[in-house]
Amino acid sequence: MELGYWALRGLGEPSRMLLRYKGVEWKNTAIPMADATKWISEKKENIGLDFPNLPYLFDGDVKLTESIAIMRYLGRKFDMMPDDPAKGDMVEMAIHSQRLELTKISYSPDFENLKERFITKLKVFLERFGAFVAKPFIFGSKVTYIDILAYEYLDQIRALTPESFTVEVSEYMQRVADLPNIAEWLKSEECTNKTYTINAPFAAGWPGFPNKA
Amino acid sequence: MKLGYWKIRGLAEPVRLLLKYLEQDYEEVVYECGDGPTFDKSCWFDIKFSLGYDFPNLPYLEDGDVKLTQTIPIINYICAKNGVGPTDVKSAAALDMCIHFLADLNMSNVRLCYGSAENLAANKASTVAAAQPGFKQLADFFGDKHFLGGDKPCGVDFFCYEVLDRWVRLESTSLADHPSLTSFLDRIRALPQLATYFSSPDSTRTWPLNNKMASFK
Repeated sequence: MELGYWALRGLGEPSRMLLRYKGVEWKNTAIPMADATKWISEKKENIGLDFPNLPYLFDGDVKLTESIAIMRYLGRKFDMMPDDPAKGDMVEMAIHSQRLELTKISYSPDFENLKERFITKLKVFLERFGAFVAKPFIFGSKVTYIDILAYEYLDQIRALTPESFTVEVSEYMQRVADLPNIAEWLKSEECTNKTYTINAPFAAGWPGFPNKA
Repeated sequence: MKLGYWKIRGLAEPVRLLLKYLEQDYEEVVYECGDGPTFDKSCWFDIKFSLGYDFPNLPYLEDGDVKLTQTIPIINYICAKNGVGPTDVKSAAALDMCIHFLADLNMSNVRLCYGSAENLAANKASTVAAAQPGFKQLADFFGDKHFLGGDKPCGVDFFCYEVLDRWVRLESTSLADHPSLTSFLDRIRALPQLATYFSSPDSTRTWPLNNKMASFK
């Protein structure tokens, strides 16, 4: 299995986190931004992807793009699907929509003006999400791919606006962060949260540079 | 079953096409915003948080105890309920990839429609040009298949139809280099289950694509 994405967190990190959580063998193709032009001109259209893009997943003869499609594929493969598919899909897309909103404002030169409206809508979402999640995980005792997606995206958003995060959501996030393999990764020397930006480093509004401890 | 949305095609239209194709009865719950310059949306915002939805939004679908928001989950739910579309892991993954690709392809169209009139005039041609590689990728992905679902349409086909039709409405030459995609649009329009929907002067097909504040409706 190979997961390819830029050497930053962005939309590829949830899939990396899921693969780390499962402890399976996988190839982490993390493309440095400095190599972007080269990758786009040499590799992007030549590795057998129907809709060339990043992130991509190779698993045997399966070749996928679109971050949500990849997460759902891994969720099915590793038996991490919610029992209620409709509710699962809905919370998955509600979370993903927040991340897409962050993307939109992060790449805008008008970021400072757009940030306030983003945070207002985020607070509504976080209140709803906090009320929706069961304990310990979104759908109870079973860890689903949506927990990994939620944790990573919420952690990225939290870097922008930590004060928006309610106790319920923060405690939920800690329960995911404490999962085996994830806990070790987050504490490890190699954890790329220390070095990766959340968006592209050239993002006009908010690259999301890592905090230096 | 109830489908709630603005009095436009917008994000609900793929759901309407799917429900009409499946000949499912449902009630359209219609919200219409006010005219400019304020485009008053209080008819929706006044009740938005009181309808019992976990993540209140438009479109919404109510089906007995089920209360769903988010367009793609609604499409997935209707398909699962009606046994439409493939369920094997690989086919499901390919269709997930396709619907999210289509959502990306739709974004530049939506941005253009809801931006300023000046922006629309200045950037329409370049935006349509930038979408061309995506259309080619989509045409190649179809291959010889009549529908993304194979011999019969699945939910993604109706999402695809609406995304492509929006482009053609915005710029009639959008698909000029992709005749197989134009054939796909014709093929959906020719579905017997949709004949009345496409021909009736009262159908929601006659509603604007976009809401009142859009530069291109």
